[in-house]
Amino acid sequence: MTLLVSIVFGVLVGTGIHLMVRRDALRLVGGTVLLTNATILFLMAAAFDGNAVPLLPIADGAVPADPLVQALALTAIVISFGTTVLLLRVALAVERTHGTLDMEDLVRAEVADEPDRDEDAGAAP
Amino acid sequence: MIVLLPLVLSWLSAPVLLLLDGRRPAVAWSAFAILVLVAAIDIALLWAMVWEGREPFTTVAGGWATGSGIRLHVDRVSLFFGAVCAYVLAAVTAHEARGNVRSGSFPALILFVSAGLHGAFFTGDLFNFYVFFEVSVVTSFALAAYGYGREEVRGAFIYIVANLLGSSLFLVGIAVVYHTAGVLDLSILAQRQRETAGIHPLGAALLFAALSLKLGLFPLHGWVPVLYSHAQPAVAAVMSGALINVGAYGLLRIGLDAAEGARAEAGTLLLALGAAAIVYGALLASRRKTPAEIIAYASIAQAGYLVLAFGAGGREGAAAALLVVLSGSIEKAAMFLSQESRGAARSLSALVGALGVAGLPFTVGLLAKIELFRAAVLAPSGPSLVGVILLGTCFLFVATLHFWDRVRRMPAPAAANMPAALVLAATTVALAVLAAPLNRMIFNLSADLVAE
Repeated sequence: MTLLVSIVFGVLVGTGIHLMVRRDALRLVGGTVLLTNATILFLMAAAFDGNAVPLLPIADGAVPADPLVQALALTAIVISFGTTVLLLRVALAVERTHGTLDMEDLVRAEVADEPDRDEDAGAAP
Repeated sequence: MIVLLPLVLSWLSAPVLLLLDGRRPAVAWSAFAILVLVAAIDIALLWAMVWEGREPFTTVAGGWATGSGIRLHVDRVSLFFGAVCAYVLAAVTAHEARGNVRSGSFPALILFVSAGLHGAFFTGDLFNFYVFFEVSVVTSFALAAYGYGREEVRGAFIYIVANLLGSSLFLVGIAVVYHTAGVLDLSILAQRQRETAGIHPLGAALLFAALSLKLGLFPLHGWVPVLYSHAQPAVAAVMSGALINVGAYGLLRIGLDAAEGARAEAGTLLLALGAAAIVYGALLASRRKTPAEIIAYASIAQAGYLVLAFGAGGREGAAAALLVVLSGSIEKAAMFLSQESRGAARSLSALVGALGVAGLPFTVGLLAKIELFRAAVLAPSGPSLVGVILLGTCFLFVATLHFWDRVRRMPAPAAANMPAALVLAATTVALAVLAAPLNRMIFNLSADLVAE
């Protein structure tokens, strides 16, 4: 079980980072989703015990699975859902104001919108 | 129970204001009134705990047994951070309230930030700290895009992605702490630290990386200049004057107590990181042309001061770090708000704010710098650290003059704002005048962070 979780965690993080360095901002959002999911899996794995049984109904003498990490993971899922929705909303706003979600075009827009940074570059000694 | 009032008050009033149209001055002013009340309660309780011997407040939410429920813990340091943040948020709200609130949700979002920050400062549980700082950070995501112009949304996008990475790191750190220690209660973790071993070094390293990303520490500072130069000045003031403190609080609260073992082991590395951030931030601040970028890099240098004090450790280091937080919050907010002020108020608040961030006389920034020297001299390789701080101050002085010059030449805003920037500038000067009692109070506070 530990091996399986480790492999899944590795694949999720790897895919997430791979998506995050792509040019498309929407893929970047997808990458962050995968990364947070990997984190939540890691959180669940913090209290793994192969032989644990569900908390309810509990049989005599059986060791229940740690319910705390499940509560933590649930909270983390809610938070990550909220942030993802906000990130998508901002990505939508970027698309509407720039007409593109290509990171390179956004960098170009950055340079174009630059205030006159070197307004007095000629005056400097 | 009155101790929890600052948290409850902001939390309950925020959703109510969300239902109202925040562009109406009355709504913005009621948010201001609530924040002033919150700051007043924070300061009154802090006063009672520091000078009148009132005991820290601890309760376990929901009546659970100690150790199994979420513990709320309010002591002097919690109230100090709460008071600083509420004060800055109140000033920003007053600044925006005079007829130029550009989005209906702005007053409510400010109150949500206050609720999230107070929750993070008032908790005694590592995961609950994470939840509350996410409340404030998620609110700041919405604030970052405030205005919804081309630049704002671009800055907000970068800011959100960077912070999501930080949150993931923090969560992995929590998982490591829970796996190795089996508890997330900070006082139990601190107790174990004193008896056997504290937070596992890997967990401590992950938490440190996440918190320094939130703090904008070099080399994880990438989002700071992007956000500060793209967001509205009022929003940037909220970020640099209030939100960034959650990183500082986490660093001091977790690092100086529960993770003290790991911190002491990494002491030299922390000092080096702090020194690098000071030199990098101050050098770039002196070379930048736009006021917002100057503040952004000065803020990176401030994060360096904080981590330097943290790396030095002990009561002296904690006191220096608390003063850096106090001066940095008020002065950076004054700098941002001065850009939207008019006339003599603009010139004066820009100059005082910038002098404070550089740690020069007439401001509480100087007191922070003096405490920092004291902490640095006691640390290993003290003389070279003092040299680094002096070098940083020289660069920041150049940045101060640049900033002052630039702000005075900016076009004046169309509408007159409340003189919030001037009030913040006056506050830092007043605190500098009260240096002796302030220093005694801060040293008194540092006892809550560092176990004897």
